[in-house]
Amino acid sequence: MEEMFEIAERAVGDQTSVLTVRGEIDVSTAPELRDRLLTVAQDGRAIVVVDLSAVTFLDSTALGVLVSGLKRLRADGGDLRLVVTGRSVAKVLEITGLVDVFSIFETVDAAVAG
Amino acid sequence: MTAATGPSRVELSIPATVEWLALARTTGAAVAARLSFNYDEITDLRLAIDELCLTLVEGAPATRLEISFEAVGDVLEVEGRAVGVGLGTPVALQNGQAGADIVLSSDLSARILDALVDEHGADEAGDTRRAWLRKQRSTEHA
Repeated sequence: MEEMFEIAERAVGDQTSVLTVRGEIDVSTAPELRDRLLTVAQDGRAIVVVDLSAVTFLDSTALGVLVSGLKRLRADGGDLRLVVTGRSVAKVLEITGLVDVFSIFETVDAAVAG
Repeated sequence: MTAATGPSRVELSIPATVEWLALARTTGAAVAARLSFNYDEITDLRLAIDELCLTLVEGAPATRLEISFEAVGDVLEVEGRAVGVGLGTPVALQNGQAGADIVLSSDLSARILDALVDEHGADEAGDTRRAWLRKQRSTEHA
């Protein structure tokens, strides 16, 4: 019924972590993303790049998790950056106004570089 | 052109738990495709139906969701009913995360529904909560 949901994590230097998410982020999978975001933040990563290039579906619960992660990281002087290439994900960010809240990049390299 | 002119109604009844919500949007997308909605409209409907279901499970948890999909001319009408409101398992507990629950943002849901469908609404009576949406098919068919 659904594509396999998975999150891969890669550290870049001491400060940055890249989370590559695949599949659909909805109310049943969003908790896993939230837990990973909490873990990388607790590991002392100030910059977290969430690569949504391979995300095929994203709803308001996913956005809630990303916004919470963003607030937490920015409160500690860090940032949560998004990599968005798909039209459907871009549209959700657009219509909710969150496109103006997140730093959004077209590639992981650009997001890591900031 | 003729796909949506006949009577066509699809009904789905699922447990009101998070792992089943995907079936509602998948079914809605299949119905919309059957009714010749174009790719972008189907993508919009998948998300809108998901948000509709989240509206139904938010707050007081229900036991079941009953969702109907029906074409009325060029319009797809989707109606969801959460039955047994207050008797189901809260979403946060379903996710095994009591105390650190997923925040269901009705504000974001409303913004998404406003943008993606022509009309939507919700009401509640007794132990049944209802939410519905309507989306018109464009003239450019898939």
